[in-house]
Amino acid sequence: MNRNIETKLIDQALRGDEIAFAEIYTRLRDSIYGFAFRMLMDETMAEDITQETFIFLIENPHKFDSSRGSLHPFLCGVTRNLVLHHLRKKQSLREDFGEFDEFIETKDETNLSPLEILLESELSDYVNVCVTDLPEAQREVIILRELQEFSYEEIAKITETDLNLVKVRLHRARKNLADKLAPYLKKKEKCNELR
Amino acid sequence: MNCVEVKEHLETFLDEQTDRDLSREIARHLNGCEPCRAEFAELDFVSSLLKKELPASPAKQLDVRVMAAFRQHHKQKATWNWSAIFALFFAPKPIYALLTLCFLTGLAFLIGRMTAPPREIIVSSPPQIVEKEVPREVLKYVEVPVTKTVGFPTEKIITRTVYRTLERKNGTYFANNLPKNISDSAVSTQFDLKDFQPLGEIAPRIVKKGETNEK
Repeated sequence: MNRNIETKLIDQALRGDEIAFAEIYTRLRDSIYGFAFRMLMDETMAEDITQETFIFLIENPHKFDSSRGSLHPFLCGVTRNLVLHHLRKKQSLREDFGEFDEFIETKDETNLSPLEILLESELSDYVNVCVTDLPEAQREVIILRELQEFSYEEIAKITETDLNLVKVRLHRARKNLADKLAPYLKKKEKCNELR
Repeated sequence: MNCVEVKEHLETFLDEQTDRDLSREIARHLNGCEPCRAEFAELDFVSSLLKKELPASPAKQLDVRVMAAFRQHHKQKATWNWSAIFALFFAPKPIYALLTLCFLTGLAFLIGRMTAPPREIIVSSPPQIVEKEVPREVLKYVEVPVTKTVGFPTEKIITRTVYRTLERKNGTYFANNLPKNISDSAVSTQFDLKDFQPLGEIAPRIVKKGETNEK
């Protein structure tokens, strides 16, 4: 979104212009939802987080400073904080209800072999599982880079970390994913050879 | 560029975060180097898999919920503004007068408190020179008030008195270990008694043994 148009739309939305707000919302909704969904792998929760992100903007518009960057990274930063808050809460619940956690773990697809996964689900599901299995810090940078297509500097701002740390985390995330997806990569190479 | 250098920049090249010259060099190297090309292909494959699996848009209900929250927020703001304006325009005149009076009284009180000099409340006897007879010499003591600053703006309260020995130097009496601004936490320094109280005006008083706590 052009910075001038964005600033104008935000000003109008702050004054209560519903059309301007709807424009901002429509432009950024899918991206915010996508980020939340990939981080949580839970549609309902991702929707709630998306809603909370936009409500945060409605209620605290002064917290967005257009001179420090565009609205998109700012909202991604808000989403990230909400997601992390949710994950911490979930983690503490898991610690409180250990048995429940074990029940969930038995349903985890990561224990299955690649062949079983291929039989039971599509490759996309497995990719989602692989991404979900990444540590939080790696997961957020890979999503912000690959799905949201933010620059390294923007990712550093959103995640409130150092630029070099972003690069390191991104490298580790890619390496982890490549290791997990290696069987599919080999399969793809074989297909290419046959062609 | 050699393989090590290329591998170092391979991810930034994939993310299109390298400058044009570097990108060109890496591309040239990849064209002629099979192992580097394989590594790049692996990275590219992972990247393409992730990009392909974009989640669908959220449910339409989310749009309704967010827009409803927006409307609700601005409606609340508008309602609050109108009620405030209504209250200002239609309040009875005596209420205006009372509110103004209260405001002015409060303001005057605050200004008075802020500009008032610190009050000194003496809760013990004023300082005076006292003498104590001991065998072969007469020692002079001074009663020194120990003050404490309290309240708003500030008030000095003399909480207790202490006794200090006087020494005569060049016709002036000095009391050792006595700071100018004496407080409970003050550090001892030499103090010129002339600044404190004229010696001639003080009627010496004999303090018998056991009358003072501190000597």
